[in-house]
Amino acid sequence: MTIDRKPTRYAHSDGHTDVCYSDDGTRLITCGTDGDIRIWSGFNDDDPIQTCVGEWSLCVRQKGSRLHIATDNNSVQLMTFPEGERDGILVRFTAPVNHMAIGKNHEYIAVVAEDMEVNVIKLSEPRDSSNILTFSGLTGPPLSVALCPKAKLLAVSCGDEFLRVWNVESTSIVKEIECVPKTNSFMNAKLLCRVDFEPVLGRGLAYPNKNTVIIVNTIDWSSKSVLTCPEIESSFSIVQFSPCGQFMAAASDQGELVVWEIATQIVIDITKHSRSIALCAMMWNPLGNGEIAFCDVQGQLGIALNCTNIPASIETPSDNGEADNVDFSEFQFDDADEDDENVVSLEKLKADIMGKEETGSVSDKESSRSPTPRPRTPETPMQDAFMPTSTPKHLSSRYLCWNEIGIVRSYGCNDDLDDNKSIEVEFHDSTFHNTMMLRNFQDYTMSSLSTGALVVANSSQIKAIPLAAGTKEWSLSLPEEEEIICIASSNCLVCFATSNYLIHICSVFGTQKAVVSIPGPLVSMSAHGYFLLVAYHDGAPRKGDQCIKSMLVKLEGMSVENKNINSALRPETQLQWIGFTDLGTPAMFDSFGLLYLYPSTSNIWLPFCDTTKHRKNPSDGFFVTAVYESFQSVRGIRCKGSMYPSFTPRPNLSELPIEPLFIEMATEKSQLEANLFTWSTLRVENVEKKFKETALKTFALACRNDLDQRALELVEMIANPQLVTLATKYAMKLNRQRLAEKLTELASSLQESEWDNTNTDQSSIVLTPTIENVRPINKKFILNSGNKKTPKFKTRNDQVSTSETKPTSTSTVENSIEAGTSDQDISVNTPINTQESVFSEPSSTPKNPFLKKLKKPNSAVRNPLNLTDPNSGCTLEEVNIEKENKSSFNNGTNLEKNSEKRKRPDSTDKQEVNKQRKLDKFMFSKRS
Amino acid sequence: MNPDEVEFLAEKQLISIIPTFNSNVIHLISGDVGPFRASLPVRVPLWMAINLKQQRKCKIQPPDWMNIEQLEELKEEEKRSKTFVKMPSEHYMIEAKLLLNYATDDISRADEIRTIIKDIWDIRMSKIRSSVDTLVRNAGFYATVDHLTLMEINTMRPLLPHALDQVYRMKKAQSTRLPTQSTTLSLLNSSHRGSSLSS
Repeated sequence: MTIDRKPTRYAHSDGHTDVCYSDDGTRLITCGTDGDIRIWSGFNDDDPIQTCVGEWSLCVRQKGSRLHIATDNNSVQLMTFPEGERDGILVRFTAPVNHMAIGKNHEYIAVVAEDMEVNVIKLSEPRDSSNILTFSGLTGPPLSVALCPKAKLLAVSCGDEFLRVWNVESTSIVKEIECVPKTNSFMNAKLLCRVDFEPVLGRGLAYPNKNTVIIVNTIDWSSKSVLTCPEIESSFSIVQFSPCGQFMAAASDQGELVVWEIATQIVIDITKHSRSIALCAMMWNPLGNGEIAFCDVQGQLGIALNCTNIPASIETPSDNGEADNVDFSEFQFDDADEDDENVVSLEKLKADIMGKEETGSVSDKESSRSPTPRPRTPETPMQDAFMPTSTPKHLSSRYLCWNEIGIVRSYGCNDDLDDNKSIEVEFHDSTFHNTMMLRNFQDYTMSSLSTGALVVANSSQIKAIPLAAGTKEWSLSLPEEEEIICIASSNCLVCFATSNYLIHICSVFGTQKAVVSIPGPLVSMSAHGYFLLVAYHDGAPRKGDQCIKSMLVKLEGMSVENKNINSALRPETQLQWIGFTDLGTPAMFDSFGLLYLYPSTSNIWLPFCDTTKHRKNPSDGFFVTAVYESFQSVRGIRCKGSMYPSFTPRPNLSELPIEPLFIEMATEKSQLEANLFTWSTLRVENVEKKFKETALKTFALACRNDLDQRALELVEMIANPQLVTLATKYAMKLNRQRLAEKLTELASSLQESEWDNTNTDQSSIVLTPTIENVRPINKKFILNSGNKKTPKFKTRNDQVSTSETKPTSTSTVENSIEAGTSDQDISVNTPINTQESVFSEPSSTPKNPFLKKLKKPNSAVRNPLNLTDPNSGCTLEEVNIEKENKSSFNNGTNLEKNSEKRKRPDSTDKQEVNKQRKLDKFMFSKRS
Repeated sequence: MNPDEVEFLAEKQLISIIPTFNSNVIHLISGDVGPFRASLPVRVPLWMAINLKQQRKCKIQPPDWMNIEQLEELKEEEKRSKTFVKMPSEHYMIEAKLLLNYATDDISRADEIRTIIKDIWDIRMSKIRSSVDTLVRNAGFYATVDHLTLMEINTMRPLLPHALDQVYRMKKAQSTRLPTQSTTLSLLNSSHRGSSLSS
C-alpha cells in the first residue's frame, strides 16, 4: 500500500513549526514563527481559527478543552479549545520552552525548556508548585520530551548527546543513551531527536539514531528492534508510534517520511519531500486511520494518508476514547467530520489544477527568507560586521562600547521620540574624565571610546569629541552611496570603515590622514596607539568555519604600513571581540569563549584563555571588555544564560587569569609549564623572580621523578646561568652526579657563548643584538621589493640621521602608553624577512626575563653617571635608534650594491657604533 | 561600651566596592587593602568604603542580604519564631544604617530596605524586652539567648545587669532577714558594702 502524500500548504512563516491533532482527530492545530496559533478543521480548511500568542511559538499540544502553547515569553500559555481564547499561563521558565508532551490517559504534561529545566506538571488540580515535578541532570539544551502512557517514565533527548530516561515517581535517572547529535541550542539543532514511548503499554521507547530507528525495551533496556530503511541515508529527526502501537513513522532531515510495521520490521512505504526540506513536526491521527500530519521548517503543513497497510477498522486501539466511531475505512468519516469524504477528491482536484500555482508561491517565499528563530539553512552565513563590545541593535537600551576606558550606553535606541534618545558615557577612572551625557538626535548607533576621543557614528555621519581639555568636537558626513559600518578610535587615531571596503583614518583632532582598502567584507576593527587591527572575510565560509583574516596597519606619522596576521578561530566559531591588550598586543575572542593573543615576537596567534572553564552553566557567556597583558588577566562580564550583559541591574566586571590551554592543567607539572610559557611569551609585569622560581620548581619536579633528561633539557631551554648554578646545586644535593656534571658542562658552555657574544659585539649594547643585524636586511628586503615606499624611507632616514646629534627627541616621543610600540615597530617589518626573523627573534626577545639577566653584567644596569661605562650619558634606546637609523641609512645608500654581502652592513654598523661611542666619550668627558 | 564603640567595631567588616580610580595596595595596620583598579570590584573595610563614597571615588555593592526578598523573609521568620533568628550579618543594623545614609544611590529600593530593617530591629527589641521582663518576673536565674547581635546586647547592657543586681540584693536581704533580726543588719550592711564594691 502506498502512502498518499498530499502537497504541502502554507501554514506559518518560515521556521520551526509544530502541529498536533485534537483528541478527536478532527482538527489540526499548528503554531509557528509568526506567533500565531491556527486551528484547522481538516487539512483543507481555508479559514482556520487563528490567534496570536506572541512573537513565535515552538510547540502546541491539546488536551480536553485546553491548548498548551510554548511561547516566546518563556512560558506555557493556556488557551481554550476550540475557541482559542487566552486562559492563563501554566508555567514559566527562564528560557523558551522547546517541547512538550501530553498524555492521553493521564493528567500530566511534560515540559522542557532551553534553560535545561524539565518539569512534569499535573494538570487536573489547582495549579500550584506542589504539582510540579522537576528533573535535573541535563547538561545541554533539551530537544524533545516524551512521557510513557502511564506517566511512569519520562524521556528527554538533550543536546549534550544523551537521551535520558527518568522514573517520574522517584525523579531518578534510570537510563542514559548516547544517541543525540551534539548541539548548543535548540535553535541550532539540525536533528530534533524526537523520541516516543509505545502508546499502548509503554513497554518500548523508540529513538532515532542516524538513519535507523531503535526501539528499546523499557524494562531491561535491551534493544527490541532496529528499524532500517536502506533507501534513506539522511538522519531521522522524529519518530512516533502509531496510536495502535503497531507501526512506526519516522521523519528525516531531508523531508522523507518512512513507515514500518514494527513486528515484521518491514518498510511499508517511503515518501519524499518534493524539495528535501527537513520536517520539524509529525503526528499520527489519534483515530488510528493511518493519517499523519507533518510540518517542515519552512512553515508548510502537510498530510499523508494510508500510512498503515491494514484498514484501520481491523485494529483500533481501545485507549483511544473514540472507539465508537472508528470502525470505518481509511477515508470515511460520517459523524466527526462531515466533509472528510470530499476532502480526498477535493485535494486531488486541487493538486491537479492548482499544483503549478502552489509551487510558484513556494518559490516566492523561498526568495524572501527572513531571519527566523530557527535558522536551519544548510550553509553558514558570513558573519556580519559588528562593533567590539556592543550589544545587539534591536535592544532599546544597549551598550555601544564597554572597554578599559569606560562604558558608552545608549538609551531609547528604538524609540520614535527623539526626546528619549540619549548617550551616556561613563569613565571607569573618574579622575580621567567626568561622566558625559549627549542627546542622541542623530540616531548614533556606533561608538568607540579611547583615551583620545569619544567617537559616535550612524550610517552616514561620524562625530568625534576629543577628550583633551579645550578641544572642539568635529564631524564628517559621508556621501550618500557610502555607509559607515564600523568605527574605531585610539589615543591617536579615529577610523571608520565604509560599506565599500574602505577604511578612512583621521587624527584625533580631525585631520584626515589616510584611506586604505581592505581585501574583503569587514567584520570588525579596533585601534590602539598608531595601530589599527582589522578583521575581514577572506572568502565564503567553509563547512561552517568563518574565513576571517586580519591585518595590522600602522599609521604613524604620514606613513602607512601593513602586516597580514591571519586569524585564529576554532571550527564553526565566529569572531566575538577584537582588540588590543594594554601593551598593544592584538587579541581576539571567539564565540565559543577562547581568547587568542598575537605577541609580536612570536608572529603567531596563541590561544590563551578558555573562558568556558570558568563558567558555571553551559549557556553562560563571557563578554570581554579588556585584556590586561601586564596583569595577566582578562576583564569582562559573566553573563548568565546569554552572550550579552544585562542593562539593569548594572553587571559587575570580573577578572579571569590568562593561562594557555595546556593539557592536564590540574597537575602541578602542567601548571608550572603553562606559567613558563605565558611568562616567556607575554610581557607580564614583575615575573622575573617568579619565572626563576617556577623554572627551578619544574626542574626539581623532573629530578624527583627521576627524569634527568627532562630536567637537563629544561635548563638548556631556559639557558640562564643563574638557574644552571642553582640547578647544579640541587642535583648535587640529590646525589645526581651525572646530571650535575652535565649541568656544569652546560654552565661553562653558556659562559663561553656569553663571552663570544661580548667579544664579537664589542659594543656593550647586546640587549637586542640580532635584531640590529637583522634589521638592515629587512629594510633592504622592503626596499628591494620595489614598492612606492622607497623615497619616503629615504627621506625619513635622512631626516633622522641628520638629527642624530640630538637623539632624545626621537625617544621622548614614545609615551608610556605606547611602550610596546617600539617593539612592534620592529615586528611589523620582520615577518617579511623569513628565516632570519624566525631564528633570531626568539633569542633576542626582550620579553624573556632571563635574557635580560644574561646580559646584565654588560648592559642592563646603566648608570648615566657611571665613569666606567662607555655608554653612560645616553640611554639604550637612543643608541639603538641611532644605530638602526644609520644602518638603514647605509642600506639606503648602498641600495644599488647588492644584498648578497650580508656582512657588509654589519661591519659598517660597527664602525658607526664605534664612532658614536667615541663621540659619547668625548661628550661625556667634556661634560664631566 | 557605648554605641559608638560598637559602630567602630562594625566598621571593620569587609564590603565590596567598585572603585573609580587606580591605586596600588594600601598597607594598613589591620592588613593590606587593594590594589584598586577602576571598575574592578575589591573588598575593603566598611569605614574605607564610606569614606571613598563620600569622596565619590567608588560605588558600593550592597551586601548580598540587603535585598527586599531576603529581608522580607527574615522579617516573617523573626515574627513567627519565639526565639531570635540568626541575622545575616553580625552588625546588620550598623551596616544598613551607614550604607543607607551614605550610599542610597547604590542600593535599589533603599527606602523599603530601611523600613524592613527597622521593622526587624523593632521586633527583636520587643523580644528582648519581653524576655527580660519574663526573666525578672519569674525570678529566673539565667536565660540563654542566641543570635543576638552586639548592638542589641549593648542596648540591654546598661539596664539589665544593674536591675538584676538590685533584685539579687533584695532577695538576699529578704532571705537573711528571716533568721534573726540582729544579724540581718550586719549582713545587709556587709552585703551592701560588698555589692557596692563589686559594682
